[in-house]
Parts: sequence; structure tokens; C-alpha cells
Amino acid sequence: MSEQTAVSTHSEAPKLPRLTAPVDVFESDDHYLVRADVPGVGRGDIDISFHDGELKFEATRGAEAVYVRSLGFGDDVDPDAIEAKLERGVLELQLSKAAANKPRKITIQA
Amino acid sequence: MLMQWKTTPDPFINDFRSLSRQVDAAFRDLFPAPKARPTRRGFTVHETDESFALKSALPGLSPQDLSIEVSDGYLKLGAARSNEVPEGYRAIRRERRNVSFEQSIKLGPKVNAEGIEASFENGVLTVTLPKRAEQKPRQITINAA
Repeated sequence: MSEQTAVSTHSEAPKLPRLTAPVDVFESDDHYLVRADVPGVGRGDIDISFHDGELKFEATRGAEAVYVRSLGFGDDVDPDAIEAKLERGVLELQLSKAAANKPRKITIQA
Repeated sequence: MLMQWKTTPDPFINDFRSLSRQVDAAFRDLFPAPKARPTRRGFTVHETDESFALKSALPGLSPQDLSIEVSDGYLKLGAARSNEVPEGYRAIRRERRNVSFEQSIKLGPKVNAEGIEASFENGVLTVTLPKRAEQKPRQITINAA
């Protein structure tokens, strides 16, 4: 009984259900492109972070649910060059690969 | 004969994330994204005194991808989205489903078919079906003789 009371006082705001956002991830020589379905989410309701090679976002759909996801990219992403846009319920993130990891052509010296 | 083994990256040298990405990619190749087929959509319905509201999450669709038609007492909804690989990219993870559905919903006698409206915001379709005026409770006064 006492435990239940402790739990209910802990969460002042009602806890929204947390849903895993489905994602597509694409790769090119220079970039990664992440697309996530987050229907019902507006522009101001998304938190995106990149730390230690891990991309994370939380997108709140009104008072209904929170879409969450984290994806590991290792150390080949430039953390300062991440672009995000939200269009019609799809979050698109473009990550640039760090310069050192881009494929480069090595020519044989004559 | 000597085999060139350098072409496959050594998983013990690459970091673990890189390895797991390769495994993911291999699985993705074996089991590509499920083919879209027409399915019944999960609509949620909200009822108020004035109307019914049908809502469905359709992320990534534009209004042109949707068709909404009212005929013969049915509301017909259709939509299609296919998730193409963007130009110059290759897919390493596919989880988002293609969308393709057609659905007919029989309109009950309560619905005023003339007044049906639809809106599409942040990837959520809302179809509002107003109730007929005569469905609202109406007080009947007895006329004095």
C-alpha cells in the first residue's frame, strides 16, 4: 500500500506511453540519412541529441504518446554536422561522415 | 591458391557497432521490408454530440496520396506510400512500412454525408462526419388545445 502511494506521488504529470519509432537508415559515401515515422508530432515537440556516437530522439505526440529511438553510429559521424527536418509526420536526419572515414582514392606514385 | 582475405573487414579490429551494422545489413538483405498490401487501417473514432471524428496515422503521405470519396452511403478511403531509397544512397535498415489501403465504411443514418470534411496535419488524417440535426435531442412542447 505504502509503495503504491510513493509511486503515485512520484509521477506528477501523467506518464505518456513510449513508442518505438520505426526508422529507415540509408548510407552514401558521405552521409547517413535517417527517416523516422512520428505521426502527429509538431515541429517544437522533438528533442534530438548525438553523444558518443549515439543518435537519440524523443518526439511528443500531443498528450497521447512519446516516440523514442536511439541508433548507434560509431565514431564515423561528424557530430557538428547533423541536419534535421520534420515534414508531414516524418523526421529526417542527415548525418555527415567524419572526413577521415570517407572513402578516398589512393593513387600510386610514379 | 591464396585467397585475398582483406576484402572482408576483420570484426575484431572493427568496433562492435560496425560489426552489428554489418550483421543488420546482412539480415536486411535476406529479409527485405515487407511488401505493402491493401489492409484495413486502424482508425480511431471519437464521438461528440455534434460529430464523429475518424483519425488515422499516415506519416509521410501528402494530401495527393489520399483519396476520400462519399458515394451511395459509403465513405471510401484510399492511400498509398512507398518508401523509396533516396538517390545516391543504399539502405542499411528498413523498418517503415509501405502504406497501401482501400477501405469503405458504411455511413449510418446519423451521419450527414453532405457535411463530411477531412484534414491532414503532421501525418495524421482526420475525417469529420457531422451528425444530422434531427439526431440531436430535441425538446417537443405540447401545444395547448
